Amino acid sequence: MSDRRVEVVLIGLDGATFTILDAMMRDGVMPFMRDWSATGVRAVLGSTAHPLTPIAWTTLMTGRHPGNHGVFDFVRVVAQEPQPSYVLGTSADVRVETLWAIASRHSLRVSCLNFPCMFPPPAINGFVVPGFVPWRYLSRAVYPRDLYRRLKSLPEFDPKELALDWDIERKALQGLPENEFEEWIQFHTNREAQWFSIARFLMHEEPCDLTAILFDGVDKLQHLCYHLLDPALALHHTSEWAQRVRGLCLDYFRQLDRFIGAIIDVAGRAARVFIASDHGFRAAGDQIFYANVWLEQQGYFAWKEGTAVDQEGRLTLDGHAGPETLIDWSRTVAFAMTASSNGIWIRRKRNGQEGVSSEEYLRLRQRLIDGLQMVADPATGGRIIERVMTREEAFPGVAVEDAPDLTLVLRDHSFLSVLRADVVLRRRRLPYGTHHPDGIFMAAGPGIRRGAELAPFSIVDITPTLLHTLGLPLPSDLDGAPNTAVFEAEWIAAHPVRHEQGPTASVPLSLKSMSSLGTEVDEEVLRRLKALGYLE
Amino acid sequence: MKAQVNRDGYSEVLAYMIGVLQEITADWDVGEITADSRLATLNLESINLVYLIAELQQKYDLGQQLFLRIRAADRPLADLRVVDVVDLVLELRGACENRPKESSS
Repeated sequence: MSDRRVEVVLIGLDGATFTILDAMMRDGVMPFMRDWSATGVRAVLGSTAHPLTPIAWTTLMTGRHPGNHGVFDFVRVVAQEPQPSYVLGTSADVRVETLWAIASRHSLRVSCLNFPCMFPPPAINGFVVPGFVPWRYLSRAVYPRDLYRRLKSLPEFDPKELALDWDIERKALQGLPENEFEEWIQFHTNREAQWFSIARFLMHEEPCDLTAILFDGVDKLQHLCYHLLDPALALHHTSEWAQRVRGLCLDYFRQLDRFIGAIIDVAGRAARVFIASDHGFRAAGDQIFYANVWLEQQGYFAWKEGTAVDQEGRLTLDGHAGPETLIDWSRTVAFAMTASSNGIWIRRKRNGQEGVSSEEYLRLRQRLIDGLQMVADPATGGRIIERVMTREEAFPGVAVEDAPDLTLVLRDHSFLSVLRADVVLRRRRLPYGTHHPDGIFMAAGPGIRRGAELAPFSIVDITPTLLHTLGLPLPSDLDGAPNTAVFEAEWIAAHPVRHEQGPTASVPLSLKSMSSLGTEVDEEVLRRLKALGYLE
Repeated sequence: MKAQVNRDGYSEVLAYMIGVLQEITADWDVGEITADSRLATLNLESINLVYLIAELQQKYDLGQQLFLRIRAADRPLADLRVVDVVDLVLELRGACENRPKESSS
């Protein structure tokens, strides 16, 4: 065991919301969290404009807005090709330095466990076990490579339990039959035990200045079981099955409470501990918006002949075929490719492919915005889509051209469907939990205020806050700033915020990626970026 | 010149890819992996092949071009042979190496 000690711990709880956590703490399911949180600060943590796991965690771990870090979804949509498609999002998509890289650059040691967008693993001063990697690929996904051999020597290590099974998750997120819930919840409970085991091993054997671990089962369970966890909704679900499934979910949170307690115990009293989520959660409404069906009705989209009509309220295809296989690209100029992004893409006319000219682009975009805002619930007449954001509004920055042209905020924050249906709105079959922008933040430790409820702040401020906590100067190009309200006045007075001198080591910002837009659009985008302070 | 670059790189890319495949199939008897092995015969879920392509892209600095070329070929990834992927890597590397450098002057 090393003489080095853990200075800072970051525990990520994917999708955690105070609506659920407060009930768990109050009802004795999470007694450690209840007692520990009373010794520190807490706040609502505002997520990214579209609160989605890879976008928001990348913002948290870079201190940069999505328009600058370049991650907009689990995948990277390649929209401006004759046959649009998407490819796996990877660590190469992250255009800026991460918290882990900045700390490494200052010779601090870091362990980073289960975070997205970390495959292929970057070489840092420490250890990386990326999240979202299939179990057979894990041996090649960890950094340094020798770490996998060491993990395999742990008696409890089981790569099948550790890794996410995409097939299971894709199926689960479309809705599980009741008789499969118990096995699925147990799978996620066992997964968290695997990640905890790795964190404990590294904290004992290779203590790092910064230890970061993400528990993502919170998000998974809440997608399917939110109605059984939110006290206001659980009252209405009293069947024997609902009680049994709720009990399993509570067991998951009891275990999570024990793991958090054990991690903080291993870190020791001198460590500062931060807990954050990438976004919050809420119950989705009872209707699904079929975005491509609406685009078809407006004359901007066409299905391939024979494309099946979804009768089951699904958001995307099961299996590995992408929705691009359903689309007649010769007659499509606007489309939704992924449910997760809530994004609509507009094709540009170039190299003979279908699409709109630069002159037409802004006009079409505005027509889509106006039309989408008119989509109404037939029962109430109320708007289905609360807000339609242009990409400059949602994701301003140098990577803006990689973002969807439009991002929809549905009134219940649910995800759209990319499938074909016979109606634009279809009733959802099963209760479903969806992402909400209000996540959580908690912190405790030396120099951190006790018992304070802070004003809500942004997820982009987490990296600068952690860098400052680690005693490091801040790169000058961060979008966020340290939240000094976290700390005691005496501590912050003795530890003033410092900034790095000279150019940073971040990936240089470039406007070259915008050059493929037409002149008129360039000027419009540049004007808006200037207005937002992103350009001189 | 381009052909020379490609031929020189063939053995290295092939060895690297076979090494990766051997590692991720180490616990199963999939037989000898050669240039002619079809990916579908390696008893791997397709998601592993997607990660393999991501790793090759990073290793050979291909951006997302390898994914896009395979998509453009309109063939399931699993239907490809090892050598088919190696050829695509080499083709893309050749193209990359022939690109004028942007800022060297």
